[in-house]
Amino acid sequence: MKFHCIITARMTSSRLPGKIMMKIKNIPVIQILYERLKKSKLICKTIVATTNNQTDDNFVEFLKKKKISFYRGSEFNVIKRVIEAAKKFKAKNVVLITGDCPLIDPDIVDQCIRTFKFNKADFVNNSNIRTFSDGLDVQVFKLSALIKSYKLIKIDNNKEKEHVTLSLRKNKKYFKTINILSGPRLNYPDIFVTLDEIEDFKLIKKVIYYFWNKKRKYFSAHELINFIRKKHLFKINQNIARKGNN
Amino acid sequence: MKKGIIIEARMNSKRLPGKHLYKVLNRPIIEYLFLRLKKVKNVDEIILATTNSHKDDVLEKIALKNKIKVFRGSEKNVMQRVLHASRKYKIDVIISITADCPLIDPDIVDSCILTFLNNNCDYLNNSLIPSYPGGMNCQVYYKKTLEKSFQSRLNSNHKEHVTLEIANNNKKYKHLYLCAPTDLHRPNIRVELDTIEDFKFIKKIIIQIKKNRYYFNCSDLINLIEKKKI
Repeated sequence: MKFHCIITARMTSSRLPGKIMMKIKNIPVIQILYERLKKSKLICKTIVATTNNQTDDNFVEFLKKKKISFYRGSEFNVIKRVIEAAKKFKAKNVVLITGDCPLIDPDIVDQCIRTFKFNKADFVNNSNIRTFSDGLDVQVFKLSALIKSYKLIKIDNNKEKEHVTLSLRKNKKYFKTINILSGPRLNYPDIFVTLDEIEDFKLIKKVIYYFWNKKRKYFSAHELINFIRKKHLFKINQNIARKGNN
Repeated sequence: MKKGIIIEARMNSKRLPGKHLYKVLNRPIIEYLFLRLKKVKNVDEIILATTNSHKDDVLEKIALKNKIKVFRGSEKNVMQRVLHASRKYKIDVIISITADCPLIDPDIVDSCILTFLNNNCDYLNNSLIPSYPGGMNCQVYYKKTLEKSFQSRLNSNHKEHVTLEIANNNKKYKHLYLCAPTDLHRPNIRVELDTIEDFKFIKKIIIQIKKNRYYFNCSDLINLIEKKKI
């Protein structure tokens, strides 16, 4: 059983435009994410799914330069973009990561993949019911299930087209779904390590500086959460109003 | 819904009789299990389910000393023993742990409980698919699921292994197999207590872990085994 990872990313984010190319220690956030995902033992290939818009031309040039596979599709019909990207790379099972999760933990990604595999599930996620911090979100699904959920979307329902797995989640009776929850060790739903706003960027930057300065290129979610708690870094971005829906 | 850990233990183990009383740092090994399970957060009651035999009086004594509830029942029909224990303490969700797993990580137990409660399933198991180290074994199911299984046609093997009928029938019961994150995915590591060699190994681990000897997590344990190669 093979697993392709698809990262959804675009330059025209409404709250923090260009966030995926913001640099920490001269490395764009998207590349930090890509390299962390490389530590996964169960992902065979990672693809960035971005938009057809001119605004993403430079972004695509960067991906080409870094030899990162990509697909360009609709900006707002993200579910369609993901389906097309998966088809192009002949993916059967997809691990979906959003570009705003640069601190993703590949060990947790692999837990979701393993659990998906051995339960013959259609959809496994660790974010439907929030225990893991926002920013460690993993969703794994069969492409066939996503396609089926796409067909269930009403023609004028733009929200379900924008949020890739919303239809999968809404129509759960058709799909064998598993929600993974963490134990207390990683149960910090009030800590946000996602990249939505400039305050998030400040927090992520502090984390990366801390670990990379210690020559720790890779660090786990547990180390990350411990560091944020110890240094009270959650104060940096705790007052941001969050949007739902992943 | 009342959630209860039910620990199965007896002195009359076939391969290593009296193993739960074997001592590490002056403490019977089963006490380590009790202390660790007390760290589990999402649980209302911890119950030792042991047998009616006089030999097991000592287990009851240690349990009570550690403020663990005790139920005593059939020696051979373990399924009935666990079911009766859950009835007596009005447990709706049973977390089954065997005393053969003295080094079980309470954090893993909590993730099993929370995952079970937030999915549409009858039975959660984290060891049927080898992923976590052996000895982290946890099963979660509803009491009503056990009642249903108890009504099935059972042989002596089913009665001895509480969840065997449930685990063998994934059509009749909705199963969920929870696998480990990669940092804890060590199907080749085993810290279960069946033989005297197992005991020596477990004793070595507890003594070598400098941190808090009564509570260290699965990750500490893996680090010790892999780095010091004990």
